[in-house]
Amino acid sequence: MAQLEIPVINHEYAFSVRIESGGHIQFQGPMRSRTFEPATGGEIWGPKLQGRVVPQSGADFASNEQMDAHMMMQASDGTWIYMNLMGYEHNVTEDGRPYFRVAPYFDTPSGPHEWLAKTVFIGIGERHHNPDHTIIHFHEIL
Amino acid sequence: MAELQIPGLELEYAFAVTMNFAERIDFVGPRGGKGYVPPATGIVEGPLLNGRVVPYSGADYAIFKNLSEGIKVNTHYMLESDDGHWIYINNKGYLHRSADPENPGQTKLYFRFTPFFEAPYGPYEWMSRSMIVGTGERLTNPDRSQFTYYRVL
Repeated sequence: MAQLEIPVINHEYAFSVRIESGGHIQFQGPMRSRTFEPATGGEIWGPKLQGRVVPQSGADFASNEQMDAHMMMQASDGTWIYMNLMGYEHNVTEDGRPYFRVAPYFDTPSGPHEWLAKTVFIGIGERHHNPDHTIIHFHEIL
Repeated sequence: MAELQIPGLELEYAFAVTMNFAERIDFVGPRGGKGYVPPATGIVEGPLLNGRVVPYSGADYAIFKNLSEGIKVNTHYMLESDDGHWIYINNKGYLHRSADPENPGQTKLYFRFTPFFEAPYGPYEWMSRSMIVGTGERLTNPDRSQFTYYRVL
């Protein structure tokens, strides 16, 4: 077996999204849990994307401890952007720190924002209160 | 917002998977392009996991519009650790070539992904709760693909 060479993964900060929360619905079903947390609006800022989260355009439909959020965003030039966020939000971890990490997958029209639909990102999430919202800082995987 | 701190992204090398593929099938239908590339063999090695890819336990069922413009990876298969645990992997990401700004006239490969694992309770249950990010490359002599995975801290 050839000796493994381990390539380095480079990344850089791209933008942040604030997602305002419209509350929680949560239940346990016979096969799985389900959470519904609607996105009531928000803002996008940073070096590579600015805009807004379209109010009432989607929600997190998390199940069995895995986030699965869907929502529409609009860039400041008017371009519509669909975002599907998948990942994990654990408030209690072995080392006592919350772990809120996600991967977004985007669909965009062809044009200046289409790179979003061809690029992998990792988001670092923070949950805030009064009013309830999350902020996710997205790093582009180069 | 100027006072807002941007938390840095920290990655920890987890393991690498060296794989061989036999079939590479693709077609285009009413709902777009579909790929089918099953793993024939695969070895997993690294600080956080050692084992094998279970041959023909699934495939990359990629989607695409024009194959020449790249694919959206959507892989499902099973791993088995050296100590006998089954682990399901669903790998999502992108594979495409684009102009290389550093080498005019050349292209460079972008092959990055975020796998989601499901592992049983036990030594690998952290894989069910951790974001992982990976990079893939085609290697020669012998022909093989290497997927390198980092845990997001």
